This record gives sequence, C-alpha cells and structure tokens, in this order.
Amino acid sequence: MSSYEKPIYLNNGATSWPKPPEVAEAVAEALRSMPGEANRGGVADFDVFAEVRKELAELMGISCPSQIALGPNSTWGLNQAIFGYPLEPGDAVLSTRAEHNAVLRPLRVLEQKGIRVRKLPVDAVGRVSVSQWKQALEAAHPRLCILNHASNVTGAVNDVPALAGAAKEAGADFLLDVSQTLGCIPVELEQWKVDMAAFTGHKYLLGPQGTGGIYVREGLELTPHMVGGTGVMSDLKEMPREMPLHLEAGTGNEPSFHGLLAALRWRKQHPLDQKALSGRTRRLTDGLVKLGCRVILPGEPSTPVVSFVIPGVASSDAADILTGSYDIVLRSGLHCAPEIMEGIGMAGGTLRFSLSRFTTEEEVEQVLQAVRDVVESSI
Amino acid sequence: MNYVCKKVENCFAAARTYEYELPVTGKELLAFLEGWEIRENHRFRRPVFSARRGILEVKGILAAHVVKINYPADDWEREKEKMETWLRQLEPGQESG
Repeated sequence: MSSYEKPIYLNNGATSWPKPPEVAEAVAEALRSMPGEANRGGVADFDVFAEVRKELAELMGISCPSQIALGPNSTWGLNQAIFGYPLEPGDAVLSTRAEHNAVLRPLRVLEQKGIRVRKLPVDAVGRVSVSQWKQALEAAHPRLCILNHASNVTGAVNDVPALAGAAKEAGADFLLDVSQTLGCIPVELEQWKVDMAAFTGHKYLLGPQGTGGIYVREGLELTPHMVGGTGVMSDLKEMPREMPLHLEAGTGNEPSFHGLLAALRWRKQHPLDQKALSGRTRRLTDGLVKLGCRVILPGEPSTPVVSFVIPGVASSDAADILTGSYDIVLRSGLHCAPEIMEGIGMAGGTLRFSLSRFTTEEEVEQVLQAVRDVVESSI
Repeated sequence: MNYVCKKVENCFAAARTYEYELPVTGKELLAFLEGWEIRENHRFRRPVFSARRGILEVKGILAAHVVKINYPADDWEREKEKMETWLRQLEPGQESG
C-alpha cells in the first residue's frame, strides 16, 4: 500500500496507474469465479485468452489473432523471440544502444554464443537515423533486427515503417518492442511488415501487471524458449507446432488477463485524447526548460515521457525530494536502458516523468512548482 | 534505539543505500549528530535535512521517521556496522542540545 497522501503519479512508462475501475473488478470477479481452463474449449466456454488475442489483433493491425502468444510481459515476449529465432554462430543481429535491458541482456547472451551483435548509436534524443540504419544493414547483413518503437528514456518514436521496410529489403526479419507505444500511439504491424512484436499490458493498455506477449507472423516458427504443459495435446512429446500453443507452456494468468480484457474494451469506449495528452506533456517540457532544467526534447512523434536533469542536483537527490516532500511518483536513474545515456549526454541517468491520460493540467502545474523549489534550493 | 533497516535498490549495482525506520523523527535524530555537517531546507512542502560526516551521509524528511543513509563503496560493511552500533546505543529523549 502507498504511504503517499495524494500522489501525483508520473511513472506510467513503468506501470500505468490509475487503471479504469473495470480492470480491478474484472480481476476480482475472475478470482471469485471457477477457473475456465478445465473446460478446454467448446461452444459454451468463455476463453479469456482468445478474447484478449482478438482485441489485441485489432489494436495491432494483425489479421490472425492466434499468432499472438500470451505471457507475463514484454521481457517474456522478447526472450521468446530472441532465443527462439533460428540463429547460428556467425549470424548477425542489428539493434540499437537505445534498447531496454529486456533486449540488451538477451543480446549479451547471444554474443556469448557466437552471434555477431551490432548496436547502432542513436541521436541526442534517442531516435534511430534511417540513413544510418540502412548503412548498418548493408555493412552487417543481419538476419534479425531488433528495435524499440519508442525509447522508454526519451519518448522518441522511431520511424518503424521506414526502418522495418529497410530491414525487409535487406533480407532481415524485424522484431519490434512496442512496450512504450501500444495503447498510446497507433501500431500497424502487418502494414509495417513487422515479423515479431513484443508487448505488455501494464503500461498504456492500462491492464494489470503480469500480462504481455509476443506476436509472430505466420510462417515464422520460433523454437519455444520455455516448454511444458499446454493443457491440450498432452500425448505429444514436444510442444504443439500450432500457434499460440507453440509458445504458451504452463497455466496462464487468467485473472490478470480478465483485467487486461476489461482494459482493452474500456479503451475502445474511451478513446485516448492524444491532443490533450500531448498538450500536457508539452506544457511540462516547456515549463522544465524555463526553469533551467536540461530536458531531452524528442519533438514529434513522441510518447508522454519527459526526461531531464536539474543542473547541480544529483538526480537521486532530486527524486528523493520530489517524492518525499511532494508525493510525486517518478523514476530516476538509468531506466533499465543504460547504453542510451551516453548518446543523449546524460551518463549519470535522468529524472523521468511519464504522463498518462489521467494526468491533469493542475498536476502538471503542481509538479512544475515542486521542481522550481528544487531548482531554487541550495540543498 | 531500535530500528528497521531495508536496502534501497536503484539502477547501480554498487549502490549501498539503506533506509532506517527510527522511533524518532529526522529532526530529533539531528540532535544526536554532534559534529556532523547538518543542513536543513524548509523551502519544501515537507522540509528536509542532510547530515554529513566524512563520506557518510544521512538524509530525510525532518518530520518523518525514515532516514536514508548512503554508505561509501569501500568498506561499506564496516561503516554500516559502526553506524548501526551507534544507532542502537542511542536512547530517545537523551539528545544533546
């Protein structure tokens, strides 16, 4: 439980909060109800996982919902994709220095197995240059490319149609991390020729933690990174080859996926006012700049993330004050993306505010007043 | 005095920061910290303090019962043991000054 009096929650890039009330109600109702799994299908069976797949397919621009395997989070999805993709020693993978540790650490393991990993630097706001990407594709001849749709540190959105298109032209498959964008900005995986995409339910989809997964295009078969029971086809000695069973070993998190389903349906009834959210993000950014903070300015398109430092004040100290004295919930440090920091000129890490559709104008003004106090303080 | 201690995790593997929940407030603790370089800032909605002696730093909210202590990277275990031994022998109500 929180000890804050009346928190201003600006950590939505990590986990969104608050959630629509329907989400908690759906989770609670699922826990009170008999589990659905025992029925194993049939006309009368309500399969929450299938319903979630349908909603996600619509949201992500996918024609075949069964190509979505559900798991606990993006990290699970990325691990399935990176370790399940058919790579041999000597093969190359192209990625960037702006990736989250959910990509960087699996890549490190690949390197240790003899895979050549090329990590492209990003510009000063964390965005990948399309021309440099094309040059790297020519130089490295990768079999697989891995990229975030938007940086979790700076909010900069990458030009995925151009970058994925270039990867396809170079003969590489393309894995996209949409953790920071799904539910926030449009995602069109098939149209963009994306081969795989990892997603999570607990950020801008407004679902509970413990929900996420991986989309894999038809015709691309991954080796399951985790194997085990599937509840059906138990007479097979190996994982079933059909998706999504191929990648879904073990009992699913049924209550949380009921929560995600409620969130997905709530979102459809309550479309995000992107203009209003961008306006509040811009107001916060402009205010911080006026206060003398060093702010990453990704321009458009970007997610509602504002990364900055206060000159002369350690980010950890500033975060302690903003949280302890003002009940502002934010994140400080490397944001699990350590390699981007050098490129954006903030080696020691940043303070990060990440807004949501529920962040109010009044909260933004209160936050700016609190930062003003820190800036003008000598401690 | 008795306390509850818990490590504070952050982005750096070498971080040695611990929180202590004390039976006294930060303001009351300051009275025990004779010889420390103490700074208070009352500008913030909840005023804060920091106290430094050499490489050790204690900080927190003046009115709160939880303080944060950063231990140096070198020899942090010995410094932590010394600090905790000192905290244990304090008796609330016996502050100096």
